[in-house]
Amino acid sequence: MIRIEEMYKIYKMGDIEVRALNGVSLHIKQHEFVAIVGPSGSGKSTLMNMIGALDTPTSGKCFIDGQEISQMSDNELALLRNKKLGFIFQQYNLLPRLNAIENVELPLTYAGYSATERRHMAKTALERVGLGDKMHHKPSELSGGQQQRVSIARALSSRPQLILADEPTGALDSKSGIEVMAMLKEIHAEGKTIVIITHDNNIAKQANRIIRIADGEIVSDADTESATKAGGGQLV
Amino acid sequence: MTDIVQPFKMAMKSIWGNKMRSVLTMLGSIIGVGSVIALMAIGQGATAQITEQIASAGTNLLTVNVMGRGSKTLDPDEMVEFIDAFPELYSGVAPVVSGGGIMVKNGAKNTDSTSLTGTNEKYADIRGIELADGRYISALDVANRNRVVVIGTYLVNELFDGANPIGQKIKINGTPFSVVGVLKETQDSEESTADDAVVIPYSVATRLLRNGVVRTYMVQSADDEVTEAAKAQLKDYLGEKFVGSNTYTITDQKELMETLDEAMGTMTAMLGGIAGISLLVAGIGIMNIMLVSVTERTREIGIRKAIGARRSHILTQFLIESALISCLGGIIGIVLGIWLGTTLGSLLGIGATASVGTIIVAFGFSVAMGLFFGFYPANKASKLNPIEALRFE
Repeated sequence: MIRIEEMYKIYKMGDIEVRALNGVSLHIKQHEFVAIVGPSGSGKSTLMNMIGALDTPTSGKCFIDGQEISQMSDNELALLRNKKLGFIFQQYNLLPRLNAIENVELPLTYAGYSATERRHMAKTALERVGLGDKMHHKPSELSGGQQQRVSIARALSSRPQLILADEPTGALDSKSGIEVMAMLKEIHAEGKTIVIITHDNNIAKQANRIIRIADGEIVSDADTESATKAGGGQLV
Repeated sequence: MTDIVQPFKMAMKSIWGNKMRSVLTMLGSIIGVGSVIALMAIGQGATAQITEQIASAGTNLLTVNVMGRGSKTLDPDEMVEFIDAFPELYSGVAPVVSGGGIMVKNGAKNTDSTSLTGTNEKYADIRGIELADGRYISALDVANRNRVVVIGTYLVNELFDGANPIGQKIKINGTPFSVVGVLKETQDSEESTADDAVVIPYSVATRLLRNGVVRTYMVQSADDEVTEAAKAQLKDYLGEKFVGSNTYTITDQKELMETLDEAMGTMTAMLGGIAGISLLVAGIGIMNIMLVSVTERTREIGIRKAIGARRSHILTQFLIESALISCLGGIIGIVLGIWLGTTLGSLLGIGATASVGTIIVAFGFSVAMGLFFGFYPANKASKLNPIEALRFE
């Protein structure tokens, strides 16, 4: 599903070079549930942007579903994000002027579906996350947990293979956080590939595989069981 | 772009969501379109009115103005004789003596700003003047210097309380005259209009007025086709009379009409052009607001791009928004312009109607300005980097 080879991302800030990604290689197969863990500034967000086809690397290659993104044009990247990826953000990133179902319809609009198809697909997605009765509520009329579920519905609406979640529970209370994680697990069980970015070990533990990143390099990559064992039951 | 309805809805939402700002932005287009339409309507109305006035006086009219004083003047009787000698060229001449601020009195009642015309029997025909009652000045009145007068309806109302004045005596600047006719009402019998006037024989007028010299002759050619020849003949005659001096002019009515029409057209276009500048300013206003809007909505643009919006999607969205603002402003401007043009027109006594051409041009220009000035902000929005846009707080 995702293959990254020797990826470098170097930002120039004046005379100083910042190596956000310093030779990262990794392979994520279809139907995996991966957590990318690291402290802030470790490069995990940069990595997420690469996987999310939002950014292109300075050097190295990134294949998403067999397509190499570093050579892609803006439009090709947009198409890839639209068809193959679903984003879930920490701050939900819903459009405040649109109600829940209009927010969920948005990626479908860009995909070129007709109004009736959009409505049907968006409705299905919202019912899937248990918000069938809140379709016409504005984000401001919904709780944080509900807003995040709308954003999950939006990520699911165009039926992508890969769901990317950037600190999906970061802005939620613990109860809503547990609900959201349970939902992601369900979605994973239905056959989607999920990549979650977090700095919270308890969240990471719920994935099947944990990739730890620091200073732009991968420091460990193992399935959850062995990762927790190595740390004496605690991820360090 | 397969779906045009959705970005339209989005644009409407965004305009509606910022009502105050949208209305203020539209104000530029509203005032621009409105003033173009109103000014053009008034200008065209005024042109039509002036042209009509000239046309109603007859296009085969030649006006001779004599500017010389003293010895170099024309004897009106000689002039009449000359004109009457060429019936194939001229159908008549009316010498005209004009005076203003005339005091007209009937017993205790009087007016003091009446205009006076001293002329002959041809004047009514040449100027297309009609009578409401009685008779006009006759050739005999001129020859005999009869103190007879034809009065306007304002005077009938003021001096006779609307009663029949025929046969009554009035005093003009102290000299008694007997009323023989009443002019047809032309301007609601208001003071200082064509209804506030007296017409007397020119032979009497030259003596009544202090500077009573005939300075104007209205010559009517026999036919439109001989007007040129008539003018040439007149020129020859006057050239002999005023040897070596250019103290007279002959004005061809047709020429005058064309010149005036052209001048008014230029003036109208200039007014429209000045108003058009406000449309340019309106466009810049739209650009300004759209730039602010793009900055404010950076995060929204980032979100849209993250979920798959292409550059063209964002560009279309913002372009539609600015076009819609100028469209709505333009529509309101059309309504305002038509209303303003008609209202001001009726206040000024001009039949001002906005032409369809003006409306289309003003509206089209406004929308074009919206699109033109909307392009830069829209393009800027479409070029935003999604990561930086998402990070924008």
